[in-house]
Amino acid sequence: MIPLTHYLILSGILFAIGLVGVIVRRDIIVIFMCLEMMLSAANLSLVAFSRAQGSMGLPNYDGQSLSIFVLTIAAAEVAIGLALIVSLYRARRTASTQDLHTLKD
Amino acid sequence: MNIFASDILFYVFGALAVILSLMVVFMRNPVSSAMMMALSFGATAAIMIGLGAHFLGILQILVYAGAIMVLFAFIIMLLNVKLETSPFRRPVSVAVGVIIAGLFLGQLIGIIYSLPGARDCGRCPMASAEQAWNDLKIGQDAPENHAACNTACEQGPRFSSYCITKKQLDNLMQPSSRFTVLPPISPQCSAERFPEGTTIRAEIDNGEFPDTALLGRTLFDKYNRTLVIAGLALLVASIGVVLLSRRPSGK
Repeated sequence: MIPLTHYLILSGILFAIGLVGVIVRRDIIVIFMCLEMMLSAANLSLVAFSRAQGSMGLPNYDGQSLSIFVLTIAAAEVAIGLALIVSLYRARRTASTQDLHTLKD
Repeated sequence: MNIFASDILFYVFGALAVILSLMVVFMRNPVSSAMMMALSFGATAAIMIGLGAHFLGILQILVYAGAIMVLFAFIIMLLNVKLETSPFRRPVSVAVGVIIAGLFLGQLIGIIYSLPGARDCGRCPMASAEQAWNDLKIGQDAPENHAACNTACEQGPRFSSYCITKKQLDNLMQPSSRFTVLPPISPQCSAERFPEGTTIRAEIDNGEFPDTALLGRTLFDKYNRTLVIAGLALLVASIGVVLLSRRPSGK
Protein backbone atom coordinates (compact mmCIF):
# COMPACT_ATOMS: atom_id res chain seq x y z
CA MET A 1 0.00 0.00 0.00
CA ILE A 2 1.30 3.42 -0.93
CA PRO A 3 1.18 5.97 1.88
CA LEU A 4 -0.63 9.25 1.39
CA THR A 5 2.71 11.03 1.75
CA HIS A 6 3.95 9.72 -1.59
CA TYR A 7 0.93 11.05 -3.44
CA LEU A 8 1.36 14.45 -1.82
CA ILE A 9 5.06 14.52 -2.68
CA LEU A 10 4.35 13.57 -6.30
CA SER A 11 1.77 16.33 -6.48
CA GLY A 12 4.28 18.77 -4.96
CA ILE A 13 6.95 17.78 -7.48
CA LEU A 14 4.55 18.32 -10.40
CA PHE A 15 3.54 21.68 -8.94
CA ALA A 16 7.19 22.72 -8.54
CA ILE A 17 7.98 21.71 -12.14
CA GLY A 18 5.06 23.85 -13.27
CA LEU A 19 6.43 26.73 -11.20
CA VAL A 20 9.86 26.34 -12.82
CA GLY A 21 8.21 26.47 -16.23
CA VAL A 22 6.28 29.62 -15.39
CA ILE A 23 9.44 31.37 -14.19
CA VAL A 24 11.88 30.05 -16.77
CA ARG A 25 10.09 30.16 -20.11
CA ARG A 26 9.71 33.15 -22.40
CA ASP A 27 6.92 31.84 -24.56
CA ILE A 28 3.59 32.96 -23.12
CA ILE A 29 1.78 29.84 -24.39
CA VAL A 30 4.16 27.47 -22.62
CA ILE A 31 3.86 29.60 -19.46
CA PHE A 32 0.12 29.08 -19.68
CA MET A 33 0.54 25.33 -20.16
CA CYS A 34 2.69 25.18 -17.05
CA LEU A 35 -0.07 26.98 -15.12
CA GLU A 36 -2.45 24.23 -16.20
CA MET A 37 0.07 21.68 -14.96
CA MET A 38 0.06 23.32 -11.53
CA LEU A 39 -3.73 23.14 -11.38
CA SER A 40 -3.66 19.48 -12.35
CA ALA A 41 -1.09 18.77 -9.61
CA ALA A 42 -3.42 20.38 -7.08
CA ASN A 43 -6.20 18.13 -8.40
CA LEU A 44 -4.06 15.07 -7.77
CA SER A 45 -3.52 15.99 -4.13
CA LEU A 46 -7.25 16.66 -3.72
CA VAL A 47 -8.05 13.19 -5.01
CA ALA A 48 -5.43 11.65 -2.72
CA PHE A 49 -6.90 13.45 0.28
CA SER A 50 -10.38 12.35 -0.78
CA ARG A 51 -9.20 8.75 -0.62
CA ALA A 52 -7.33 9.22 2.66
CA GLN A 53 -10.29 10.85 4.41
CA GLY A 54 -12.67 8.10 3.34
CA SER A 55 -14.84 6.33 5.85
CA MET A 56 -16.82 3.10 5.81
CA GLY A 57 -15.10 1.83 2.71
CA LEU A 58 -15.95 4.78 0.47
CA PRO A 59 -13.76 7.75 -0.40
CA ASN A 60 -14.78 11.17 0.84
CA TYR A 61 -16.45 12.65 -2.20
CA ASP A 62 -16.10 16.25 -1.00
CA GLY A 63 -12.52 16.27 -2.23
CA GLN A 64 -13.46 14.90 -5.63
CA SER A 65 -16.28 17.47 -5.96
CA LEU A 66 -13.78 20.23 -5.24
CA SER A 67 -11.52 18.70 -7.85
CA ILE A 68 -14.33 18.91 -10.42
CA PHE A 69 -14.80 22.59 -9.61
CA VAL A 70 -11.07 23.16 -10.08
CA LEU A 71 -11.39 21.41 -13.46
CA THR A 72 -14.28 23.71 -14.41
CA ILE A 73 -12.40 26.85 -13.46
CA ALA A 74 -9.31 25.59 -15.30
CA ALA A 75 -11.36 25.15 -18.47
CA ALA A 76 -12.83 28.66 -18.16
CA GLU A 77 -9.37 30.05 -17.47
CA VAL A 78 -7.88 28.36 -20.54
CA ALA A 79 -10.64 29.71 -22.77
CA ILE A 80 -10.22 33.28 -21.54
CA GLY A 81 -6.43 33.14 -21.39
CA LEU A 82 -6.06 31.82 -24.93
CA ALA A 83 -8.47 34.46 -26.24
CA LEU A 84 -6.35 37.09 -24.48
CA ILE A 85 -3.19 35.65 -26.02
CA VAL A 86 -4.74 35.71 -29.49
CA SER A 87 -5.84 39.32 -29.17
CA LEU A 88 -2.45 40.21 -27.71
CA TYR A 89 -0.79 38.58 -30.70
CA ARG A 90 -3.07 40.51 -33.05
CA ALA A 91 -2.13 43.80 -31.40
CA ARG A 92 1.61 43.20 -31.00
CA ARG A 93 2.54 40.38 -33.41
CA THR A 94 4.45 38.57 -30.69
CA ALA A 95 3.92 35.79 -28.19
CA SER A 96 7.09 36.29 -26.16
CA THR A 97 7.05 37.99 -22.78
CA GLN A 98 10.39 39.66 -23.55
CA ASP A 99 8.81 41.81 -26.24
CA LEU A 100 6.02 43.07 -24.03
CA HIS A 101 7.64 45.99 -22.24
CA THR A 102 5.30 48.89 -22.83
CA LEU A 103 4.91 49.51 -19.12
CA LYS A 104 8.67 49.38 -18.57
CA ASP A 105 9.52 52.09 -21.06
CA MET B 1 6.20 -5.75 3.36
CA ASN B 2 3.38 -6.30 0.89
CA ILE B 3 3.89 -5.14 -2.66
CA PHE B 4 0.90 -4.96 -4.95
CA ALA B 5 0.80 -4.47 -8.70
CA SER B 6 -1.05 -1.20 -8.17
CA ASP B 7 1.88 0.11 -6.11
CA ILE B 8 4.31 -0.54 -8.94
CA LEU B 9 1.91 1.13 -11.35
CA PHE B 10 1.75 4.19 -9.12
CA TYR B 11 5.53 4.58 -9.18
CA VAL B 12 5.71 3.92 -12.92
CA PHE B 13 3.06 6.50 -13.74
CA GLY B 14 4.44 8.93 -11.17
CA ALA B 15 7.91 8.77 -12.73
CA LEU B 16 6.33 9.10 -16.17
CA ALA B 17 4.36 12.18 -15.11
CA VAL B 18 7.46 13.84 -13.63
CA ILE B 19 9.63 13.10 -16.69
CA LEU B 20 6.96 14.28 -19.13
CA SER B 21 6.37 17.45 -17.11
CA LEU B 22 10.10 18.18 -17.17
CA MET B 23 10.03 17.70 -20.93
CA VAL B 24 7.14 20.19 -21.19
CA VAL B 25 9.31 22.79 -19.48
CA PHE B 26 12.55 22.04 -21.33
CA MET B 27 11.34 21.27 -24.87
CA ARG B 28 12.24 24.03 -27.32
CA ASN B 29 9.29 23.58 -29.64
CA PRO B 30 5.89 24.60 -28.17
CA VAL B 31 4.12 21.91 -30.22
CA SER B 32 6.17 19.13 -28.64
CA SER B 33 5.62 20.79 -25.27
CA ALA B 34 1.88 20.50 -25.85
CA MET B 35 2.16 16.83 -26.85
CA MET B 36 4.24 16.01 -23.75
CA MET B 37 1.67 17.87 -21.70
CA ALA B 38 -1.16 15.69 -23.03
CA LEU B 39 0.83 12.53 -22.18
CA SER B 40 1.62 13.89 -18.74
CA PHE B 41 -2.08 14.46 -18.10
CA GLY B 42 -2.66 10.87 -19.18
CA ALA B 43 -0.19 9.66 -16.54
CA THR B 44 -1.88 11.83 -13.89
CA ALA B 45 -5.25 10.39 -14.90
CA ALA B 46 -3.86 6.88 -14.49
CA ILE B 47 -2.75 7.73 -10.94
CA MET B 48 -6.21 9.10 -10.17
CA ILE B 49 -7.83 5.91 -11.44
CA GLY B 50 -5.43 3.99 -9.25
CA LEU B 51 -6.70 6.03 -6.31
CA GLY B 52 -10.23 4.81 -6.98
CA ALA B 53 -11.43 8.04 -8.59
CA HIS B 54 -12.42 6.39 -11.85
CA PHE B 55 -14.74 9.12 -13.08
CA LEU B 56 -12.29 11.91 -12.32
CA GLY B 57 -9.51 10.06 -14.10
CA ILE B 58 -11.60 9.76 -17.24
CA LEU B 59 -12.67 13.39 -16.87
CA GLN B 60 -9.02 14.39 -16.57
CA ILE B 61 -8.28 12.71 -19.89
CA LEU B 62 -11.38 14.12 -21.59
CA VAL B 63 -11.09 17.69 -20.35
CA TYR B 64 -7.35 18.22 -20.01
CA ALA B 65 -5.79 15.91 -22.58
CA GLY B 66 -8.74 16.24 -24.93
CA ALA B 67 -10.29 19.69 -24.85
CA ILE B 68 -7.64 21.91 -23.29
CA MET B 69 -4.62 20.51 -25.12
CA VAL B 70 -6.45 20.59 -28.46
CA LEU B 71 -7.20 24.25 -27.78
CA PHE B 72 -3.53 24.86 -27.05
CA ALA B 73 -2.47 23.07 -30.23
CA PHE B 74 -4.94 25.16 -32.24
CA ILE B 75 -3.63 28.41 -30.80
CA ILE B 76 -0.01 27.41 -31.36
CA MET B 77 -0.75 26.65 -35.00
CA LEU B 78 -2.90 29.77 -35.39
CA LEU B 79 -0.20 32.06 -34.06
CA ASN B 80 2.51 30.21 -35.99
CA VAL B 81 5.01 30.83 -33.23
CA LYS B 82 8.49 30.74 -34.71
CA LEU B 83 11.38 29.08 -32.91
CA GLU B 84 13.41 31.80 -31.31
CA THR B 85 17.08 31.71 -30.49
CA SER B 86 16.32 30.52 -26.99
CA PRO B 87 12.93 29.84 -25.42
CA PHE B 88 14.37 30.38 -21.94
CA ARG B 89 15.21 33.49 -20.03
CA ARG B 90 18.76 34.47 -19.18
CA PRO B 91 20.78 31.81 -17.30
CA VAL B 92 20.62 33.86 -14.10
CA SER B 93 16.82 33.94 -14.26
CA VAL B 94 16.72 30.21 -14.98
CA ALA B 95 18.90 29.51 -11.93
CA VAL B 96 16.76 31.75 -9.75
CA GLY B 97 13.60 30.04 -10.99
CA VAL B 98 14.95 26.56 -10.27
CA ILE B 99 16.15 27.65 -6.81
CA ILE B 100 12.78 29.20 -5.93
CA ALA B 101 10.91 26.08 -7.03
CA GLY B 102 13.40 23.88 -5.16
CA LEU B 103 12.96 25.87 -1.96
CA PHE B 104 9.20 25.64 -2.37
CA LEU B 105 9.36 21.89 -2.88
CA GLY B 106 11.66 21.46 0.12
CA GLN B 107 9.32 23.38 2.34
CA LEU B 108 6.33 21.44 1.04
CA ILE B 109 7.98 18.09 1.72
CA GLY B 110 8.97 19.31 5.19
CA ILE B 111 5.35 20.19 5.91
CA ILE B 112 4.08 16.88 4.48
CA TYR B 113 6.44 14.92 6.73
CA SER B 114 5.44 16.92 9.79
CA LEU B 115 1.78 16.00 9.32
CA PRO B 116 0.44 13.83 12.14
CA GLY B 117 1.00 10.20 11.33
CA ALA B 118 3.40 10.85 8.50
CA ARG B 119 6.50 9.52 10.21
CA ASP B 120 7.60 7.24 12.98
CA CYS B 121 4.65 5.36 14.40
CA GLY B 122 6.25 5.38 17.84
CA ARG B 123 5.26 9.00 18.27
CA CYS B 124 2.40 9.47 15.89
CA PRO B 125 -1.25 9.28 16.98
CA MET B 126 -1.74 5.91 15.30
CA ALA B 127 0.26 3.76 17.65
CA SER B 128 -1.51 0.52 16.85
CA ALA B 129 -3.34 -1.06 13.99
CA GLU B 130 -6.48 -1.13 16.13
CA GLN B 131 -6.35 2.60 16.60
CA ALA B 132 -5.49 3.15 12.95
CA TRP B 133 -8.54 1.12 12.02
CA ASN B 134 -10.68 3.30 14.25
CA ASP B 135 -9.15 6.52 12.95
CA LEU B 136 -9.10 5.78 9.28
CA LYS B 137 -11.37 3.02 8.18
CA ILE B 138 -14.58 3.62 10.03
CA GLY B 139 -14.29 7.21 11.12
CA GLN B 140 -16.78 7.95 13.88
CA ASP B 141 -18.97 4.94 13.30
CA ALA B 142 -20.13 2.47 15.86
CA PRO B 143 -18.19 -0.74 16.42
CA GLU B 144 -21.07 -2.97 15.32
CA ASN B 145 -20.41 -1.80 11.77
CA HIS B 146 -17.01 -3.46 11.94
CA ALA B 147 -18.62 -6.77 12.75
CA ALA B 148 -21.28 -6.34 10.06
CA CYS B 149 -18.66 -5.50 7.49
CA ASN B 150 -16.40 -8.34 8.48
CA THR B 151 -19.15 -10.92 8.25
CA ALA B 152 -20.35 -9.48 4.94
CA CYS B 153 -16.84 -9.60 3.60
CA GLU B 154 -16.16 -13.12 4.75
CA GLN B 155 -19.42 -14.47 3.35
CA GLY B 156 -18.70 -14.99 -0.26
CA PRO B 157 -15.93 -14.76 -2.79
CA ARG B 158 -18.05 -12.43 -4.88
CA PHE B 159 -17.32 -9.53 -2.54
CA SER B 160 -13.66 -10.28 -2.18
CA SER B 161 -12.40 -7.89 -4.84
CA TYR B 162 -13.46 -4.66 -3.16
CA CYS B 163 -13.87 -5.73 0.44
CA ILE B 164 -11.10 -6.04 2.92
CA THR B 165 -11.38 -7.63 6.31
CA LYS B 166 -9.99 -6.27 9.51
CA LYS B 167 -7.42 -9.05 9.59
CA GLN B 168 -6.11 -8.05 6.18
CA LEU B 169 -5.96 -4.44 7.32
CA ASP B 170 -4.03 -5.45 10.41
CA ASN B 171 -1.50 -7.14 8.18
CA LEU B 172 -1.18 -3.96 6.14
CA MET B 173 -0.78 -1.77 9.19
CA GLN B 174 2.11 -3.52 10.84
CA PRO B 175 3.96 -1.34 13.32
CA SER B 176 6.84 -1.45 10.86
CA SER B 177 4.91 0.52 8.27
CA ARG B 178 5.90 4.05 9.01
CA PHE B 179 3.37 6.05 7.05
CA THR B 180 -0.33 6.72 6.99
CA VAL B 181 -1.89 4.01 4.87
CA LEU B 182 -4.79 4.89 2.63
CA PRO B 183 -8.00 3.19 3.77
CA PRO B 184 -9.17 0.47 1.40
CA ILE B 185 -12.23 0.89 -0.79
CA SER B 186 -14.95 -1.56 0.17
CA PRO B 187 -18.43 -0.27 -0.75
CA GLN B 188 -20.09 -3.23 0.99
CA CYS B 189 -19.27 -1.65 4.32
CA SER B 190 -21.54 1.32 3.68
CA ALA B 191 -24.32 -0.39 1.72
CA GLU B 192 -26.64 0.27 4.66
CA ARG B 193 -26.38 4.01 4.10
CA PHE B 194 -28.24 3.81 0.79
CA PRO B 195 -31.91 2.86 0.74
CA GLU B 196 -33.06 -0.33 -0.90
CA GLY B 197 -34.00 0.04 -4.55
CA THR B 198 -31.65 2.86 -5.51
CA THR B 199 -29.10 2.43 -8.28
CA ILE B 200 -26.20 2.89 -5.90
CA ARG B 201 -27.48 0.20 -3.57
CA ALA B 202 -28.13 -2.18 -6.43
CA GLU B 203 -24.63 -1.72 -7.83
CA ILE B 204 -23.05 -2.15 -4.41
CA ASP B 205 -25.05 -5.32 -3.87
CA ASN B 206 -23.76 -6.56 -7.22
CA GLY B 207 -20.23 -6.17 -5.90
CA GLU B 208 -19.50 -3.12 -8.04
CA PHE B 209 -18.07 0.22 -7.04
CA PRO B 210 -20.54 2.93 -8.23
CA ASP B 211 -18.00 5.72 -8.27
CA THR B 212 -19.77 7.96 -10.77
CA ALA B 213 -23.15 7.63 -9.09
CA LEU B 214 -21.68 8.46 -5.70
CA LEU B 215 -19.80 11.48 -7.03
CA GLY B 216 -22.88 12.70 -8.85
CA ARG B 217 -24.90 12.27 -5.70
CA THR B 218 -22.47 14.47 -3.75
CA LEU B 219 -22.21 17.00 -6.55
CA PHE B 220 -25.91 17.43 -7.25
CA ASP B 221 -27.03 17.10 -3.67
CA LYS B 222 -24.57 18.67 -1.31
CA TYR B 223 -22.88 21.06 -3.73
CA ASN B 224 -25.81 21.86 -5.98
CA ARG B 225 -25.56 25.62 -5.56
CA THR B 226 -21.79 25.61 -6.09
CA LEU B 227 -22.28 23.56 -9.24
CA VAL B 228 -24.73 26.14 -10.61
CA ILE B 229 -22.25 28.91 -9.84
CA ALA B 230 -19.48 26.97 -11.60
CA GLY B 231 -21.72 26.60 -14.64
CA LEU B 232 -22.39 30.33 -14.52
CA ALA B 233 -18.63 30.96 -14.45
CA LEU B 234 -18.26 28.84 -17.58
CA LEU B 235 -21.06 30.75 -19.29
CA VAL B 236 -19.51 34.11 -18.43
CA ALA B 237 -16.13 32.85 -19.63
CA SER B 238 -17.52 31.75 -22.97
CA ILE B 239 -19.29 35.09 -23.46
CA GLY B 240 -16.03 36.83 -22.63
CA VAL B 241 -14.14 34.70 -25.13
CA VAL B 242 -16.63 35.58 -27.87
CA LEU B 243 -16.27 39.28 -27.07
CA LEU B 244 -12.47 39.08 -26.87
CA SER B 245 -11.98 37.22 -30.12
CA ARG B 246 -14.32 39.42 -32.14
CA ARG B 247 -12.47 41.39 -34.77
CA PRO B 248 -12.60 45.10 -34.02
CA SER B 249 -15.18 46.50 -36.41
CA GLY B 250 -14.25 49.53 -38.44
CA LYS B 251 -15.33 52.67 -36.66
